[in-house]
Amino acid sequence: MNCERIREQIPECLAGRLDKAVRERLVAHLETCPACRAELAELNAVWRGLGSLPEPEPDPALRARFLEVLEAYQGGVLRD
Amino acid sequence: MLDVRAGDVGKLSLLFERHHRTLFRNFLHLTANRAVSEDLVQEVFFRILKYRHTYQPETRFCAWMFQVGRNVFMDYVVRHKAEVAMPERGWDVRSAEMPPDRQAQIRQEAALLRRALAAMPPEKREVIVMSRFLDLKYEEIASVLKCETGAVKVRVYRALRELSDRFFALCGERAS
Repeated sequence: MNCERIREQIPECLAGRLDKAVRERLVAHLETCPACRAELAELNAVWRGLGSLPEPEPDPALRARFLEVLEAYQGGVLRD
Repeated sequence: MLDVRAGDVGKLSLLFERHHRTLFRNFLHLTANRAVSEDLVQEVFFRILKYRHTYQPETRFCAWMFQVGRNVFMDYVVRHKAEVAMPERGWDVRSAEMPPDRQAQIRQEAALLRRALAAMPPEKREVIVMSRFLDLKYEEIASVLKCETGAVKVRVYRALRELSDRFFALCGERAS
């Protein structure tokens, strides 16, 4: 597998979604390719950064608004 | 969702409870606007209610919900000719027992990453949101984007690569 094909596997690798055989091929390539190792390290930093972004909460009023809509729908007040 | 589709619409409240935060954060990544994101969530669940009979049991609910969400967002963009706004200020960084200088560094990196993400072309930002934040499988993303799974693999990689370039460029600007 060439470097481009290997690099396309990196996001799945970071997500833990690569199956064992593909992961082993990726690891074998990384052991011999410093450029792809550097690519993995850089993308890993960004991937992890995305995962640690704060997770803002919606306003609790959103739930109340939705339940009102649902109730109105069930009561026949609101139509499709 | 099968119960909702069969007419037990009250059970949609359970699905709302389980998924509305994920959907809200997805829209927040796309719009950088809390009020708009909350309105879009409301609209998605209303459409789910309205079009519940179109739900196919072989589709994972999350993937279908995101497809509905994507349509809602596209309609919003057309209606408002929306450009994604840059957030005025960052969302608060959770900071349980972390030294203040480390908190500041994390906050700064998070702000740069959000800036980099917001500056991405919408179609690239979207595949990052789907793969990273919604945790959709490539097959599900392919179904949403109506393309081959192999094409999703390439798109996710290229989007992540571009995000990385933008992020490290911003880090470099700040350092210099």
